[in-house]
Amino acid sequence: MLPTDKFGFECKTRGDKKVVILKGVIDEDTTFEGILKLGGPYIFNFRELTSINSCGIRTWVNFLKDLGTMQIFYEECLPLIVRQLNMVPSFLGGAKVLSVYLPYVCENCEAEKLVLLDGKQLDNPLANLKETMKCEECEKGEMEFDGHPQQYFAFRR
Amino acid sequence: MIGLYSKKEGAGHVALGCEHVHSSMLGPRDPCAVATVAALRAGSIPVYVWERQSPLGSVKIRASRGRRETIRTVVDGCGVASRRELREKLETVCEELVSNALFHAYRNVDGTPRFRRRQAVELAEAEAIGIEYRGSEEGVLLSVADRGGLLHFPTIRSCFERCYGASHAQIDNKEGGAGLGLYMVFEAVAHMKIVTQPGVQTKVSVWLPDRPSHDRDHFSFNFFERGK
Repeated sequence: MLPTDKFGFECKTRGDKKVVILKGVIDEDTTFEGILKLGGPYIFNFRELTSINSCGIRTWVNFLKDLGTMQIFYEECLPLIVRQLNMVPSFLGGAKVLSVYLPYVCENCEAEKLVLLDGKQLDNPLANLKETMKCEECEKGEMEFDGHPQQYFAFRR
Repeated sequence: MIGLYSKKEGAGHVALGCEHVHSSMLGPRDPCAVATVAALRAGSIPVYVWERQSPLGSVKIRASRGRRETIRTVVDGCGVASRRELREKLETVCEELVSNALFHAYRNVDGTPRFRRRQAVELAEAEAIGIEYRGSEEGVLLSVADRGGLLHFPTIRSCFERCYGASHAQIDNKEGGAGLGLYMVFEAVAHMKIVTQPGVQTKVSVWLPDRPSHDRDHFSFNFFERGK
């Protein structure tokens, strides 16, 4: 389903919920009417979203308002989504975060990797976040968490 | 204001009307702060240490529809494609500054906005938005200049006041932009310098450091208006 050439989504069902995989770019041209028609409750999956700008944030926040008190969940939140969660609290609204990606980078070969933190691990993310791990690419260097752990999870306060 | 602040505290000083904020462990001995003080005394506009690199690339943009390709050119040109955090921040900063310039730098003769946010913008050759950039191991220098010269300090001040204040009033739902762009830029960068010559030009220059090892409390914000 491709409402615009920049943004699209795919819908699957999980139990009584609609899993909406958001794809591409959310900006001033994006509308979420197609998602609204699906009916919720929704699990929004962000793994294929490539970009969101300030007007896209406004559109999303207004979309959340249209959903009212409906149950909403966010899963597979990429670092770019985590940044929005931390900067604009209304981007989260009343949604519950199910999982987030943690970015790692190798100090030796600069390889990058995203590690998913989900379920009970998110109850205490700082305790479950590994600050370093062995790099599987070069097998020499250590991958470090690419951010400030406390700032990364500031949205949970 | 010179001291050691969080970004929020720094923005708070801007929201209170301070056009120059420097946060550094060095306090008044910070080279950027020294440059600002000297420039204000001399009535000039400083060139900061982080600006003292000639741009590696430059590009002009006139149309809103093609801006993503232009931003990709800038990101690739800065050589940060393999550095996720810096790349994503650069994309955000570039998108917000270029969008602000394209959609809001020009007005009709009667003062009304020339473009709406969902409109396809097509500027004349003389109005093209100029982007200059240079990437290095330390980070990225980026500047975006328009020929409208309409970005005034009260706009920035009210943006910071709204975005760093009560969280649920961050977004501007009036016609135009969301009012988040400058806030997103300020959050992403270490140094930000805005020079406006009313009716002639606005140039926003920023420095984005690589890697989060950069001390987030080391930042600066400076607004200068030529001919003030």
